[in-house]
Amino acid sequence: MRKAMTHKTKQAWKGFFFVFPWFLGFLFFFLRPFVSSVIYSFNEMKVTDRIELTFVGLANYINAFGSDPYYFQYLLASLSKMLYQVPLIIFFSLFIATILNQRFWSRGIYRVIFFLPTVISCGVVMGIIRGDTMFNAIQYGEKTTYLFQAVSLQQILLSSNVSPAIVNYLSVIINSLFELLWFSGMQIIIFLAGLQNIPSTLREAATIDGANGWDFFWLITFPMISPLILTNIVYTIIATFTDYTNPVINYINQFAAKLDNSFAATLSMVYFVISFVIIFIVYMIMNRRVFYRNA
Amino acid sequence: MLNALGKEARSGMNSAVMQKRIRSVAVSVMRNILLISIAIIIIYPLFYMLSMALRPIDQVWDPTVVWVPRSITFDNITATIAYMKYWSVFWNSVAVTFISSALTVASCALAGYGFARFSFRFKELLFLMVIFTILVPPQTIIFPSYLNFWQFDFFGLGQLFRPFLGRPLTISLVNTQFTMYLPAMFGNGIRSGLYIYIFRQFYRGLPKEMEDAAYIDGCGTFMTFVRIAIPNSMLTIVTVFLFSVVWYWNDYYFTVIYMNAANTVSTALAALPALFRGLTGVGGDVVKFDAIQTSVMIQSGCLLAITPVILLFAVMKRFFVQGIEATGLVE
Repeated sequence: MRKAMTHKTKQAWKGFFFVFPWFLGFLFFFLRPFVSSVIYSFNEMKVTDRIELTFVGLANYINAFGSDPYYFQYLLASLSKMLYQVPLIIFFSLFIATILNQRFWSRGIYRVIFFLPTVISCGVVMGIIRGDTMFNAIQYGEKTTYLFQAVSLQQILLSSNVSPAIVNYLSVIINSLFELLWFSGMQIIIFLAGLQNIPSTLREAATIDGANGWDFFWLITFPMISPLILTNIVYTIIATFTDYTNPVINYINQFAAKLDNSFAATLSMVYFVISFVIIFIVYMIMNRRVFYRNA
Repeated sequence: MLNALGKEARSGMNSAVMQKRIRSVAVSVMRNILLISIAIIIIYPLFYMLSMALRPIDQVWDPTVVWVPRSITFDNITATIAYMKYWSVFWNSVAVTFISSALTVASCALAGYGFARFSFRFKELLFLMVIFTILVPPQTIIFPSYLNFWQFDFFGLGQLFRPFLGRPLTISLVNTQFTMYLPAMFGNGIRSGLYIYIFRQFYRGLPKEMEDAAYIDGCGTFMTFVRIAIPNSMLTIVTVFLFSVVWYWNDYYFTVIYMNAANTVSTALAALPALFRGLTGVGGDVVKFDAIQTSVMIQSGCLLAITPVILLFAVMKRFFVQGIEATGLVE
């Protein structure tokens, strides 16, 4: 006689039924290519009418750091770009979200404007707006990126004896102001949604206890949205790492275009592992300091 | 004397009120100055697009016209529509975008519900794999994925034909829209990992009582999902759908590699500059547009590319914040 399924096995089968389409897709559209990429990175590839692989061990990895003159520099460049961009984007988007969360009559218009980058910034249009290398090569047009250059400010600061290091940092920020603004759209939305989720009773209680706006922000708002700061940091790191203007991504694309796919796979594997480690470290450091409401 | 005291107190109060009012006006002025100056940076390229696209070509050179053209013409836009084959690529894009997004929402909602409501073996490991798909940049797997579609073997089933045919049964899906639909259908489309995460967070926060009531009334698991969970998650579904539409509409990387031709708005726009350089005119002579004309055309192209998403965004804008709020992503 067939044994009746226990409740637990039934649950497991039902759960698997829901997850199954994704799982099939994951195996076929993600895991299989991913494993192939790992294999390519340990091989030398020749693309003729078919693909010929010869096992070369770690040679590609050694080449990436040993004989390739650019890869390490590009890695450093993209890491340093991330290091200065992430805090700025987080700070800026939190600031904007806090302002947009206040009640004033023109709030609706500003919200529309500040969310616009979310629907545009991920596309080809953004590339044209920024006049980046990929499109510059095929386009003679405008370079809006340089619109906000801080040449005169630089002169003023330098002549008033501010240290060149600080001036450099400031001018990098101002020159990339455009980029920072355009890449903060999603973060502003997430912060704003979080801010709107803070119960108004907390504000009333804090006001009765004599807290002013500043106290309220640091003692209530900030801890309440700290999980979102973590979410946004991770989101921003992924966004800056996978952005196609990223020097490493561009470099990988160059090799892919030359059909040197095993080397491209090697470079992207190294890059992926590094970004994974960074996100893991950030998560581990942050997660302990984050305040969880339900915990 | 009592009267005088009262007066003093009243005037003191008045000045406090005045102070408060002045402060609130000052705050509002400061806030608007700040917001306007930042908004200008965002609006500038869009305004530039509009200004360039709508002015007659001769006014591009005109130093007296900086922002607002003296007359408005739709010639540039009509010309660009013709060069981009805008209407055909537009409907193509609409089809790819909306079908893929609908499939993405369906598969991701299913998976998210499965991860949130049921316990099964390896669930944590599988969910970790969802996160993993978010973290891996597409460049890492793009070449083998392309091969996957080029020699598509029906999820490995084609390999079964090896004894009969001497090779696996494969067909090429490259240059067809299936390269977009299939991953979307199986929860591995553009940004699907993120959406599964969002759905899981939402369903975890949804009270279970209604579903339990449905079970007691004899509803099956899948029907409970359709009848109870889906209607209760409409806001999340619309939000995820909108974000998905935006990402598919703007996608260039996957489209240009898998579909290999200028057949969506994004790829047609990206191909536009090259098109203008090597355009062959009537009688076979090469017409080269000058830099200014090219620039104007490209700005018109940008305008044509973003107008549909901006319109969609304007109509549905409340979902962009409320939806995120409702997903439980922010709790």
